[in-house]
Amino acid sequence: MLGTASDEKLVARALAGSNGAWHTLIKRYEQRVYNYALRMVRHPDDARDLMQEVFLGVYRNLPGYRGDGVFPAWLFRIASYRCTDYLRRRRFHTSFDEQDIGIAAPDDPHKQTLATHANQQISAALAGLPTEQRHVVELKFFQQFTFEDIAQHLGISPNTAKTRLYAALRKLEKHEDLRDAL
Amino acid sequence: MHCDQAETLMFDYVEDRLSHDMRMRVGDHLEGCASCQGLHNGILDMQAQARVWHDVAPPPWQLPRVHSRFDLSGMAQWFPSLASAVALILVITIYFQQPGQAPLGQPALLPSPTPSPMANTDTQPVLEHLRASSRDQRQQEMEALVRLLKAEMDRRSLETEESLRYVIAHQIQGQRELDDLSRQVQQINYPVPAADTRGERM
Repeated sequence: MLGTASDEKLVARALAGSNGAWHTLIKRYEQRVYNYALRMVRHPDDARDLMQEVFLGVYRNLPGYRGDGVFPAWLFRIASYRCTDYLRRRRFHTSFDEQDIGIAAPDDPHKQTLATHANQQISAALAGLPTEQRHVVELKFFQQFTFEDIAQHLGISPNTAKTRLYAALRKLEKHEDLRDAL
Repeated sequence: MHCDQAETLMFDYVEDRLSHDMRMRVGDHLEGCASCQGLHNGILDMQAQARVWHDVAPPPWQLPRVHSRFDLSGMAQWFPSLASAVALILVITIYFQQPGQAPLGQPALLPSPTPSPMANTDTQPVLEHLRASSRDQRQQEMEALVRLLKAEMDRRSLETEESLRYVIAHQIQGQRELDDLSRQVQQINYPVPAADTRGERM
């Protein structure tokens, strides 16, 4: 079945010209990439733009994927590059619309309100960090990568990655919104 | 244990990847060091926040947009728009480039216009670039394109105005010449009688 195929198999099929395999690959990672983008750029419109840029980058670089690493790690390396580039290029939305980070499943309004609130607090706190620190926090805590992976992604040493993370945590420690999110 | 050693081992401590002895040493350090304690709590807090983040599904219309960048069916969706835009720009360029052949027509007396800078612009790379860039970039570039188009239209308006003045001036001059010619013809056909002239003088 195409739906249960491994990432590597889907990549191989996509490279052989299978649109179905490529779409399955996108479908598998679009939510993860979208949420990554949402935490990095906060605004849903920007997150959608960034998500498109990430998948465009993946598509363009797919022939260069050697399959010797884990696909998500490779994908998020591209995402990190794209995001850094995106943040460098665009001017941030200075005012944050409280309604912007919405939750897709409106089945339980109370849960939805809490989830929206938590997402907003976390995004607001992360937005206060410099881009390079935000990357490390994102990759360590939300993508569960090791310091070695993060170092490889960002082209820095594991120690530098750790130093950036600790600097970020010390800044976040003072952020009251984060306490509210919990 | 010093703070820098404790910091190096902090994640391994939190993720329980240290030997019993090392774990005890880091734990002892944490009890007596407020700074490292703060870092430790920060890691725990951030881990908790990552857990409370509620994954948001991309909007339903996002998927076709993403896919449309890659397959032929998607190309079929944007290609008509791109073709229309190219056609529009070409029509505008041709219209301004060849005023002599414009639908309204202009007299042959008009001075030939100077070549338009837009006429020399290859629009295809510009449009390709626009398509590949982000939303904000696209907007900025579209605005720049509109400004260029407006400037070009202004320049053309001035040229047209000058041309019209030229035509009017020549028409006025031509009218005078025509009037003179008409008077001469009248004088030839209906010469004024000399007697009458004398009579009038009397």
